[in-house]
Amino acid sequence: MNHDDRTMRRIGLWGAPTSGKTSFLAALNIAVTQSSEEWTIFGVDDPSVDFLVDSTTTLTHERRFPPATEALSELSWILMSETEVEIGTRRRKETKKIPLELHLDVLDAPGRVFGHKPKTDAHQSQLEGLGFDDEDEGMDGAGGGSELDEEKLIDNLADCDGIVYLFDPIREREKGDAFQYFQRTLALLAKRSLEGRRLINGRLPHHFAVCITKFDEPRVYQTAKARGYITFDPDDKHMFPKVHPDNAENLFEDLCQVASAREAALVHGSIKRYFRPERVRYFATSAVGFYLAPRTVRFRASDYQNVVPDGGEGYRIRGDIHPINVLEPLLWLGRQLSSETGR
Amino acid sequence: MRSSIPADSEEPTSMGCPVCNRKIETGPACRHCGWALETPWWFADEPEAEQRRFDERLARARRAFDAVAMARVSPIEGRWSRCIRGGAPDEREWAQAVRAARPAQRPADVAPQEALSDALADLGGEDGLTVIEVGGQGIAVFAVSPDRQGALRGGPAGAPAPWTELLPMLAAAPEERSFQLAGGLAGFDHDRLWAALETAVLEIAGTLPEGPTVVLCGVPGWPVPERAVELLRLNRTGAQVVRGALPEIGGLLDELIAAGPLRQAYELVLAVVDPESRRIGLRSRPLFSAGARTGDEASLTVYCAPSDADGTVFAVVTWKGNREPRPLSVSSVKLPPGPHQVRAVLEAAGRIRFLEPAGLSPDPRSWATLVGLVPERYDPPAPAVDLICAVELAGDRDDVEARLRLLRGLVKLLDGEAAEPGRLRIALLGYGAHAFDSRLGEGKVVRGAWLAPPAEVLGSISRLRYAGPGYPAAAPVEDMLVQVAGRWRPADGRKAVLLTVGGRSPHPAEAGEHAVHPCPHGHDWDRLLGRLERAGLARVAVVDRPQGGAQNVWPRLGDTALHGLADADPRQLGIDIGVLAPRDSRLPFPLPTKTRYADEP
Ligand SMILES: Nc1nc2c(ncn2[C@@H]2O[C@H](COP(=O)(O)OP(=O)(O)O)[C@@H](O)[C@H]2O)c(=O)[nH]1
Ligand SMILES: [Mg+2]
Repeated sequence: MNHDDRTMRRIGLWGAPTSGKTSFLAALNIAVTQSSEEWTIFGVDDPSVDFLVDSTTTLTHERRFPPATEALSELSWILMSETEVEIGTRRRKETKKIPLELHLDVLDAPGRVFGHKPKTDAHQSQLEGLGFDDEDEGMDGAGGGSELDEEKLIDNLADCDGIVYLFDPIREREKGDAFQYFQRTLALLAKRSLEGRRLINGRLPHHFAVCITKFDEPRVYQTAKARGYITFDPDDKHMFPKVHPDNAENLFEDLCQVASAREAALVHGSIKRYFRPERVRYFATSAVGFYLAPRTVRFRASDYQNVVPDGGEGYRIRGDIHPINVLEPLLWLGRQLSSETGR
Repeated sequence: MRSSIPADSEEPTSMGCPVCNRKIETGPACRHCGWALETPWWFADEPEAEQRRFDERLARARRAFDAVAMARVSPIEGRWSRCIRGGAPDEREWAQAVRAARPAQRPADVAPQEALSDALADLGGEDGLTVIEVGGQGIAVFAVSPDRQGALRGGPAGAPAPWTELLPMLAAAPEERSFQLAGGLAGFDHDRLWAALETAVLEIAGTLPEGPTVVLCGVPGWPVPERAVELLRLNRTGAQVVRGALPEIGGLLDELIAAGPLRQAYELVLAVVDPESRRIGLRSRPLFSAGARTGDEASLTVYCAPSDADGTVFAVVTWKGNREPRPLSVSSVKLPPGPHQVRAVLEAAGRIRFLEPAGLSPDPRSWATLVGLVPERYDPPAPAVDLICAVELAGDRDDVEARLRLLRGLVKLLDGEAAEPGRLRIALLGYGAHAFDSRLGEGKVVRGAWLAPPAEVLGSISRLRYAGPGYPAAAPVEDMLVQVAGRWRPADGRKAVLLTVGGRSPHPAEAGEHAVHPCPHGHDWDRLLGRLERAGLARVAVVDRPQGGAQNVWPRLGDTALHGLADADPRQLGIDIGVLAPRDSRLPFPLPTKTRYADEP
C-alpha cells in the first residue's frame, strides 16, 4: 500500500447501464448545494463542468432524467470538503479536521450501451433511461464488450481507491444478469491486483460503497418499510425516510431475495468474497428523492412518488429534487481513505 | 185447362164441386167455394128456363171463383185474363173478386224486414237461422250461420226450387201458373195436387238444419203457396210465418246482418305483464262490445314497446267460449316505442277499419307464429332515467376518439328512441389525467355538464378535449366518482345509471405495494364507489381492454354490464342502461298503457 505519492484519492463510480449513474451525478450537484456541510464540486475540464450544469438543470427545471451520455466516462470531477477523523491511540482518542479531496470518475461498463450504439436522439436516450423497461439493451454477459473495453475497465478499477457501486434492485430483479458481469469483473480485478501484489488477505484493497439506487421507487421503499428499515433523521425538516447504513445491507439482501433471478443474490456473495468487510458499506440512495407536495413540509407516506410515467415511454419528475444518500457514500469513502492515510 | 185434369177426375167417388173441383162432401153447399149443391133443379116448372138459369149461375160462380184467383195474381190486368172461365167478369163482379182476394188482415203480422231482423238479433251463440221464402216463383231457402268469429254470414242454401219443379202438373205459362197457384185450381184433382205438394215441400224441409226458422210467404192468400207454408210451419217447430211483399231475400239478409249489432265483442290483443314475475300473458281488451253497431267508433290507448322489424301487431279477436281467441283481423305497423292511440271503426259485422295508428297493413304471419314471438318475460325499460356518462379523455388518441364516438352514438340513439320529454336526463363527465407536477398544480381533472336533456348533451360531448396520453397505469376515476357522489342524489321513480367509458383503473387512495401513484387529492375510489353502490346507482361500463390488478375497478363499474370498447354497441348499452327494451323482450303486441314501465303495476 503506497498512496503517499498521490495528492488525491480516486473514486470510481461504477454500475450497470441504467443503474442510475448519470442521475446520481446530476443529483450529486444538487446534494452538494443542499448539504449543510461545506462541499465543493467542480469539473476538471469544460465538458465535465457542462455536464454538471446541464444534467442538474434537466433534473430540476425540465424535471426529466438526464439523457444517457456517451462521453460519461471521459468526464471527471473533484469534490472537496473537510471531515473530522479520529486520530491518536487507543488510549487517547482525538478528532481532527482534515481536508477531503476526491477525484470522481465514471467507470464505463463494457458492452454495447455506450460503445456500440451511440445515442444521439434525446428520446432514444430516454428509452434507454427507462431502466426496468429495457428489453435487451445493457450488459451482454461477460463477453459483451470488446476485450479492449474490458481491459480499460479493469485498469480503471485497479486504479481506484474507492468504488461507488450503483445497484438497481428493480432492474436487477428483472434482468437477473448482473451477477455474471459483476462476478467476472471482480475476478479479473482480483487477478490484476494479485499480479500487482495489492491483495490484502486475499481481498481487494478497495473501499466499496454499494448504493441501492432508486430508493424512492415503491418496490424498494415498500420493501424497506415492510422490513422495518425506515428511520428518520431528526434534523431533516422534511422527515424523509431513510435506511440506516446498518440496515442497508439487509435491504440489499432482501431485495435480492425477492428477485426473480436468484443470481442477483450472488452479487452480495461476491462482494463479501472479494472485499474486506470493514471496507464495504451499503446505502439506500435516491437521486430524485421523495415527493413533497406544494405547501407541505413533511413527507407523506400516502403519496410519496416523485417520478411519474410521462405517458409515453419515459418518466418525468413530479416535484423538487431531494437527493437521498448521494453525498453520504462519498463522504464515507473520503473518511475511510483519510483515516487510512492518517494511520 | 190442362189435358191431364180430366184423367184426375175419372174416379166417380172423387167427383168434384163443379165450381172449384174440390171433393164434394155431404152438405147443402161446397165447403170450399159455397156452391149450392143441393138445389133441386130437376123439379123446376120450366126445366129449360131452369136449366138456363142454372147454367148461368154456374158460369157466374165459376167466373167469380176464377176471378178471385186472378185478382190475387193481378188485381187490374187479371180481369181480362183468359184463365177466368166464362169470360171477363163485369165491373161489379171484378170488384167483388178483388175484395175477396185481399188477404185477411192479421194485426200481429209484422213486416218481413222487421221479423228477420228480430230473428237475427235473437240468435244466440252458435245458432243459425233458416229462412224459407215461399213466393210466386217457387221456394227458396237461405241459411244464416255464425262464422269462426261469431259473425253471421247469410246466403242461399242450394238453388231455389221453382214451382214447375215442385209441381210439374202446373201450367208452363207463367200467367196461367200464377193463376193456378193463386187458386185457379178448378182443373185439378186436389188430393193429388196436395199430395204432390206435400212430398215436394217435405223433401225440401228434410235437407234443412234444425233451429229457428222464418217462413216468408211472399204471396199471402195464394192457396198453393199458403199450403206449402202451412206444411213448413207444421214441419218445423217454432217456425215463424211472416207474410207480405218480399224484397230480394239474399240481399236483405246481407243488409240486416251487416247492420245488425255485434253478437260478440271484438277485442284487441294486448300483452299483459305480471308485475311480480314479469311473465307475459296475452289478454284482450274490448274494442267493440257485443251490441255495437256498424259505424261505431272505438278508441283505446296502448303502449308500444320496442318491436322487431315487423312492427307491432294489432290483432282483433273474438273469443269462442273462453278457449281460444279467434283472430278477426291481424295487421301490423312499425311504430316508435311509446303510447299510441288506437282508433277503429266498425265497418260491418266482421269488418274493422283502423283509423289509427296509420299505416297498418295486413300481417301474413300465422297466429301461432305471432304468439310464438312473445317472449316469456318482459323486463320493461325504466320509466325515467338519469344517466351519468363518464368518459376518460386521456390515453391513446384513437381510443379516446372511439370512446367519444360511442357516447355520441348512444346519446343520439337515446335521444331518438327515448324522446318522451323528461324521461331521460344525461350528465357528462369527462375526466383527463392527474398532472403529477407540483408546478402545474393538480387543477381540474373532471369537466362536463350535469343532468340535461339528451339533445343538449351532444353539444357537451363536442366540447370535450383530448387530454393527452396521461398517466399510463391509472386515470382519475376517483375524481370522477367524487363529482358523481357530490352531485347525484337518488330520486324516487328515477333510475340512475353510471356509464363509465375508459381504459384505466383509478389511482389508489394511498401509495401501497403497487407502483401506481395515489390520487394527489387522496380520493378513495373504493369508498366512493361503495357509497354510490349502496345508494342504488346502477353501473354499466365500457373498457378499452379487459384488465386485472388490484385497482381493477371495472367489474364494479360494469356491475350491470361490462363491454370491451371494440365491441360495444350503443343499442346494447341503451338496453343495459335500461332506457331501451332488451332485444329478447321485443314485444310483438302492444301493452296496456299502465304497464309500459318497470314500476307500473
Ligand atoms: N425513481 C428513480 N428512478 C431513477 C433514479 N435515478 C435514475 N432513475 C431511473 O433510471 C434511469 C436510468 O438512469 P441513469 O442515471 O440514466 O442510469 P445510467 O445508465 O447508469 O447513467 C433513469 O432514466 C430513471 O428513469 C432515482 O433516483 N429514482
Ligand atoms: Mg385522483
